[in-house]
Amino acid sequence: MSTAAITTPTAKTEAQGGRSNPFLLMPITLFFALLAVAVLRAPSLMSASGIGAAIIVVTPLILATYTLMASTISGRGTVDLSVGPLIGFINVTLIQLHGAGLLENPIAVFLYCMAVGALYQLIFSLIVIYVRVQPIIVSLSGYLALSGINLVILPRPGGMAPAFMAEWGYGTSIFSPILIILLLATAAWLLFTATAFYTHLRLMGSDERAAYTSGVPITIVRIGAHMISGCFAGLAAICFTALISSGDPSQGTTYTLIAVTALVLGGASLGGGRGGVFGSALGAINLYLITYVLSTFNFGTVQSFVTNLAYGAILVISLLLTLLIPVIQRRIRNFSPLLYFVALSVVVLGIILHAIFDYGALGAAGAIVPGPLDMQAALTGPLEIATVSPETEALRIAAAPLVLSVLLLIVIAVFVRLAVGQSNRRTLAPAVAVVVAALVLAGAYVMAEGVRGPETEAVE
Amino acid sequence: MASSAPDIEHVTSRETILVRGVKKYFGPTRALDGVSFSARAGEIHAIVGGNGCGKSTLAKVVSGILPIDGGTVSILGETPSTPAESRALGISTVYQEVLVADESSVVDNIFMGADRLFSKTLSQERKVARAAELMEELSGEPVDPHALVGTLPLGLKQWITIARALLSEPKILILDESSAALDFDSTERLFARMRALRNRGTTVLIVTHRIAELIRISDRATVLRDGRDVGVLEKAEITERNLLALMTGEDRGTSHAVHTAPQPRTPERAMKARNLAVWPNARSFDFDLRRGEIVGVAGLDGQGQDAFVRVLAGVAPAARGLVQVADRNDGWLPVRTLGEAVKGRIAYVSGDRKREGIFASLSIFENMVMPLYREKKRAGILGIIDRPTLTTIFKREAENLLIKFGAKEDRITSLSGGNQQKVLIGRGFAMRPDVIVLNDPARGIDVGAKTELYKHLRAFAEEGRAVVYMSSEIEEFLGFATRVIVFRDGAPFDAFDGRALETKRVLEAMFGQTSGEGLATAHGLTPKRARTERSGGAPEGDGVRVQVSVPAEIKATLRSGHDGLSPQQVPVERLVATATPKVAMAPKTIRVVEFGAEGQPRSGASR
Repeated sequence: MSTAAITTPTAKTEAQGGRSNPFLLMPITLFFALLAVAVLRAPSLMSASGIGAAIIVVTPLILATYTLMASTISGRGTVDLSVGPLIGFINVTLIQLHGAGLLENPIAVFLYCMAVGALYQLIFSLIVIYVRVQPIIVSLSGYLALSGINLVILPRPGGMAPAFMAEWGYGTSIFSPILIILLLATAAWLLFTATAFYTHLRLMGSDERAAYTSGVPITIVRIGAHMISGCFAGLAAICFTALISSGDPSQGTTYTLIAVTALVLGGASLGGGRGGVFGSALGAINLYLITYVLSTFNFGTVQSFVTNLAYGAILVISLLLTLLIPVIQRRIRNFSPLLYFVALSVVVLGIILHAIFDYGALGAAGAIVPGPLDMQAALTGPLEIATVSPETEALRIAAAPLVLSVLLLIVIAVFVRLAVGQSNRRTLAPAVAVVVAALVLAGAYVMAEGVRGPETEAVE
Repeated sequence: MASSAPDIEHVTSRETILVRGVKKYFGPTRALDGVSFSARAGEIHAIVGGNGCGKSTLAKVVSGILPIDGGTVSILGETPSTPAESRALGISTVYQEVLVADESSVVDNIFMGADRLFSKTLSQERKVARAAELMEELSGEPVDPHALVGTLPLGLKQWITIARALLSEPKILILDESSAALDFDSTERLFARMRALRNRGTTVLIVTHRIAELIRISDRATVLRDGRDVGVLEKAEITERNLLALMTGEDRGTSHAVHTAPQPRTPERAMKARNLAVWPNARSFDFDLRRGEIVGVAGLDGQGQDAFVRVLAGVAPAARGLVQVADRNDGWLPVRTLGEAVKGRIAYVSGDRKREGIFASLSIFENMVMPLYREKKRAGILGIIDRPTLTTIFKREAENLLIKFGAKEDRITSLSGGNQQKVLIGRGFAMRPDVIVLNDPARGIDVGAKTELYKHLRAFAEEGRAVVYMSSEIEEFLGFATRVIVFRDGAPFDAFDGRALETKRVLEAMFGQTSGEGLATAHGLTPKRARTERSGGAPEGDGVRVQVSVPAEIKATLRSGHDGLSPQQVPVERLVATATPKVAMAPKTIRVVEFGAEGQPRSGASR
């Protein structure tokens, strides 16, 4: 019954309602947990080529998740299952047209890919709006139809990507064109969130009837959301083409399930109205990191099954933990994902530094130092491939002030957060400023130390 | 018909809404069957009628979200056909449903639809400031404009929909049952707001069931019956009697008064509760329910009366104490869970149809007799549903409650709200319970159905069963409840004898202005223990006479709202400085007492 809830007693000075948005809690926690494990298992991830390769692999997935996100926010349970085959379709048509001598110009390629994606989504949205079919049915039909059409267009994997893309897929440096596409796409969405159109989109996704009766032009907003989604699909297809440097009619299909998983893992609501680029990107990165971490263990022939098992298990666990969100919302009125991110990143930065310092000090990986089994080795052994040597012990003592200062920073951040929370001004700006300034200081300290230590790469 | 109504006054003010012979059909149902009415600028016009008479449909037609099948609608000289068009014309509508987007912030919800497609009409900072100001002004408490709407209680969500309508000065404001989720104090603020708008020349169209409110606020009223308009009442003519006569089509204004509350013939108890507390920090109390009585439960919103009936029905667990129900072999069964309640033959009927009542995608038939499937099954382990028997039961209940429906296989959502509620009450009766617990069942029910419901509950009680009836409208208890228990701060505050029930006294008790001595008497919580001194008071209460005692500050607002209420309409309040029970009360604040009309805190009761 509702009436009991109407007059929940509150102190008069306190404003009603909470603005906490704890849905990013899970993706952020998972991201840092996986990142820490990945770095400890394979420190080579934290090198220019390691990060570069990771970006190349993960970008098509992130963009596919954006594709889903844009249409999912519009509500009605729009989960676009056809995203994978759509990426595949754009990929194979691009390869075939390129093979036929068309589409040489990069600009033409980009325009073509985004136009095809947008056109497909336009048809999709028109069917949903005017024929009033459930979106999931439309997307399932699209999935089946496009999967078949792709095989007709390009029966076997093959063909050549346009020449300008040839070097994109190497992934030797961090700042590859792929990263720029990803950053531009993310920035475009963030700019879009500042518009009235985005507000309309969220309102419509959350409650379509309310939006309609208030005069929001829901037809146009829904079509717009799908067109944006289509543009993301085009970008995803370009990155996918760059990754495989050829055409593949069936590979794209696998993106559907991974993208849906990433979307849910990123805290978006499949019912509509909630979702964002940070959550979606983190969800996709998390899935990549799961694969990466699992690949450091040797499961032999069942590797892919274990990966899928891990996807499923982590998704279920994270959804179960989402049940805690109402509890969190009751306790914490203003949860700041940004501060949480910064706080955790400080911790993980410490872990990354630790892994790289150890590695650098040891030289060759996996050197086993004979000696008595001590407690620390027993604890860290299963996690670390490298073992501790006396030289690193010395380095650790040198790094102790750093660890202490990091701990201090976290404490300061928590205190500043509390101070801001207690004051009337509801802004995080001071806390973030303090933490960022402290990070800069810490970085300076590390660099000063690094003069003595061996190759301290900039890892952040 | 409207044309027959006197139309001599206010000839100077222009007519803003003109509806002529409008027809609207939903399949075979005729929601509107030739309605005509008109409303002028600068008046509060009420649309009244029983359930399923087409009030809400008419409101939707006027606001432009429903296309019509015949007739003409002219609003400010135009005919809007989409919400966006009607918004552009200056029509603001607050719908019956609380239409908010839970995932979005308060600001976005209030300014929903105010922006153009790509550009905003106001900068975000100014929107935030305006939203905060408007919400505090309306709801009387500060609301964080950035808060997600999903975290707010229902009352505030309702205010958001009203704030959305009041954002720009509307030329026409349509309120469709908009005070449903508001408490008394909030309703007063809404009324003050409506009067202010009216005085500035806005046409305010209200659709409401609450006759008491309607009489207080409206300048004119159009009465609908069965999709047609049956009369227009001017301010002076708006009385319960006239309204009821028009609504029901016959003069049954007095028929209500002859009923007396049923009195139990035996002291045998149907239920007992010992050391019960509905909230963890509320006072605990004992409660007895005798066979053959109807216990009314009242209280301001959120004072624990709602939790109390849910605990009795086993829907919610008690914070402390145990509820027991008498079984048919003179034993006592505990009621801690819903399963035990069903075993103890307790039926629960909720007024919150959407959440605790209907199965929206199932038929009317299934909705009513679903709980009996298991009981009436045939063929042993196969458990085949015994449709013939169930059909008989369905027919009986449907006829008893006068449910209007097409075919029994139709979806329950094809019925109007009131008829859906009747189906749910029928479901409660069909289970043949010993105790029936009703949680504000008359919410959204028309007068005719209410009378039927009372008749059935009375007959039910006279068979030696017991009824617990929670209501938010005190006048429902008149001539109906054996005793009325008023809740305050999560525990009973006072109790009244149903035979000598005065609405005013009950209302005073709800506001904590009585001594609370009724609790220990024969009509108190545990009738058996009290000294039985039955002074047979003459049955009083004439149906739906309503008196509302209003706190002084609110009264001042009422007066300022220019329609001078006669002295007996605003009774002199007797604010007795009571010796409040020295018990550890829950740290709860009662809004009505804590806030004055302008929202300033008010310190305690004064002489």
